[in-house]
Amino acid sequence: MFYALPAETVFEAKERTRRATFYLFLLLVVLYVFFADLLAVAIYLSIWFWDHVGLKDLWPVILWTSLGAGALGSAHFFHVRSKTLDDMLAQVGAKPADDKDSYHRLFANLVSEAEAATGIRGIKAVVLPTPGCNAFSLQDGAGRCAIGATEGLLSKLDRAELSAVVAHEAAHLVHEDSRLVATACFLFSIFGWINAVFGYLMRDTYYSSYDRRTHTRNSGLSIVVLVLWVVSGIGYLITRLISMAISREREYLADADGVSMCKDPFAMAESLDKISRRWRGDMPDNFGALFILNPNEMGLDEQEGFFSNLFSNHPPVSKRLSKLLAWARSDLGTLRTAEDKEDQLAAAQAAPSAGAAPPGFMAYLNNQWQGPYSPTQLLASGVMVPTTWVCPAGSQEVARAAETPELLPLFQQRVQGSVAPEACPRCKVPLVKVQYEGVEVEQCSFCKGYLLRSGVLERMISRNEVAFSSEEIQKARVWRDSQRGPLKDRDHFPDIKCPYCQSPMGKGIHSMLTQVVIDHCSNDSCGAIWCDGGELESIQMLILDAHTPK
Amino acid sequence: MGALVLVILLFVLGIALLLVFYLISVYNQLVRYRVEVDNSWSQIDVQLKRRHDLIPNLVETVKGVMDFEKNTLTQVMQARAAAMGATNMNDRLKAENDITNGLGRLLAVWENYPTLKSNENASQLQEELTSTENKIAYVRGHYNDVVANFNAITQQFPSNLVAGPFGFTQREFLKAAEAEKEVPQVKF
Repeated sequence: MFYALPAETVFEAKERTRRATFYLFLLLVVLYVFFADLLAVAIYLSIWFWDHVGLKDLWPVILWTSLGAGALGSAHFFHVRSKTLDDMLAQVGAKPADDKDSYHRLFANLVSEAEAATGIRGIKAVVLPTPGCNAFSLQDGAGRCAIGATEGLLSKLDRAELSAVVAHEAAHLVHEDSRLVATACFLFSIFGWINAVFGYLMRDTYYSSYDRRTHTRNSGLSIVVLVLWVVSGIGYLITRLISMAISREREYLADADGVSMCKDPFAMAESLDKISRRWRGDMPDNFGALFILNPNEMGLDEQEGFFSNLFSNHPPVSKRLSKLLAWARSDLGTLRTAEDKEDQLAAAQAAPSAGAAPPGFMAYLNNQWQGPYSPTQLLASGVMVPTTWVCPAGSQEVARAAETPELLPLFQQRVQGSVAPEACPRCKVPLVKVQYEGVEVEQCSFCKGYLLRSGVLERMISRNEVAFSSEEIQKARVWRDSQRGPLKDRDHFPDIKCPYCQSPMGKGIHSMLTQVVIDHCSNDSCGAIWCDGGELESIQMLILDAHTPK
Repeated sequence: MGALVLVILLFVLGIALLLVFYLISVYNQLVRYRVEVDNSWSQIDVQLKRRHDLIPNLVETVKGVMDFEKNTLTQVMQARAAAMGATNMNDRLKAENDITNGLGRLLAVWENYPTLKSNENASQLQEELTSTENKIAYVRGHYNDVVANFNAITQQFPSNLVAGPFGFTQREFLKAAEAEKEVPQVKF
């Protein structure tokens, strides 16, 4: 639940940041021009040297380079600003939230709540398909904006924590931080580029200027390049420091305004702590400043002091946490215990209840009692009808399937047209739409294979709603270790066509960790994946197994 | 002599021009604030409509659940019908407040029903209802904020001199639903 920021403060904050942003950009452009001048003077001096040049000879050089750099700087600025949101999202690799997916739908709902709370219209909800935990916001020159989260984050945080993260990102959008930081990042990458070029040239001239006959170096050229390398290096450093300082200061502000939006500093602290203790995913270096926590973790991040303040684009997590916890009138110990309790609860819910009454029903099929089956197994078998006699395993209470409260919803789902238009590529019967790990996927009711749209397999990996017993995981491990040799000797299933687009599907090993052979559509715009019965579960089990500490 | 008259005349003309410009700017500001208020109201309207659309789904979903707060459910249905058929604003707001109260109660007891918790459709609906209720809460808050801004400017001197003659009248704030303010009864 969010509380709208007072309208007055939203308007005022916008006005204030617009002014502040303008001055900051002015400062950035001045710096840009200054370093261009410095470069030009350095070139001029190192060609003609001090003794031939008076100060008055330098003025025209400075004037012309200033004009040139000003023009170039503005052109560059407008070029950076004209990058559309879609371009930037493509660069980060984010995809729009899928409304068939319950995790994505929750996230999209929170983003639309943030829309109503901030008064910013049309915030896109996007998802990064990585199991790391992080969140970001983006805004382009025209004001289109997006809030993004990774798959890992969506599966690890609950509603309150996720809404705190979304509130933090929405606060960034209100302050127009994302636009500023993104523009600064792009604008100053040019100095880094120049620096890299000169660095390369310097090494090059150092070796090529060596005169073999006299055993001396032609030092003139290498000095020129050295000076240029140093100057552009300083330019890169200073501009980078400024953009980092901007980003760092604004994190605190976004934390504060995010809290005044979601009114839940504890959830905000909890989400920050959870993200900071998990893998944050690997992102392009340029975009590091855009995320809620720096994805490229460094040792400096958590240290205090002059150097770490200079070189990191986020304030230390411990400092942010202590501010938030002071606000929530709580402390780190309480936070950690609350998290541990949550983990235990989740583990208890996910663990298959082996000791308790066996889950499932005996069903009277083909004139004999069979089972016990779980409700989903009964549905998938396709032979149960509403009038089938069933009996909860271990009891004697026989009833019609449709009269059993646990089984009734299954029939309602079936009646509501959940048969998919696509047919199973192996059995040729229509696939059935089922919910698996919060996503609507299509499953064959006979061979139990899954048809996954592109990007869905990545989501399955970061979620663990479905629990597996340790025997199953053990079996999967043994199976994996038995997989050796070339692909063609391992997989004897015939080649199939993609049920969606009819393109041929190719075979490939999912990863060295799982060794599972999956079929993927050769049409890049479709990208569907077919997992034969048990393959998807094996992938999930083996990845879960690798994540679980021994 | 003639020059002096000319100077005075120009001076007066200048002041008159300044006044006209001031009048225009205040008028435009008032219009801007009023549009903001109307826009904010339409945002509330959108969310309330969305909630009306969700209620039949709710009834359909909890139908199979035995004794699911029958009374509250009926109240919500009646309030929805009243809100959709209301002819004046006061009746409508009262009915909408009743819906808010009823839904709040239903969502609070939702977790006590295992059948609802395990049903995918039901949990989707719960998420939609929660999200819509939240959105209604802060578009209402936002509405009150812009109304406060608008009311302030219509009463402030000297802009009230412009607001009065041009018919910018004050708007009413949205009040919290009555039951929300009731002190919860503690029973042992």
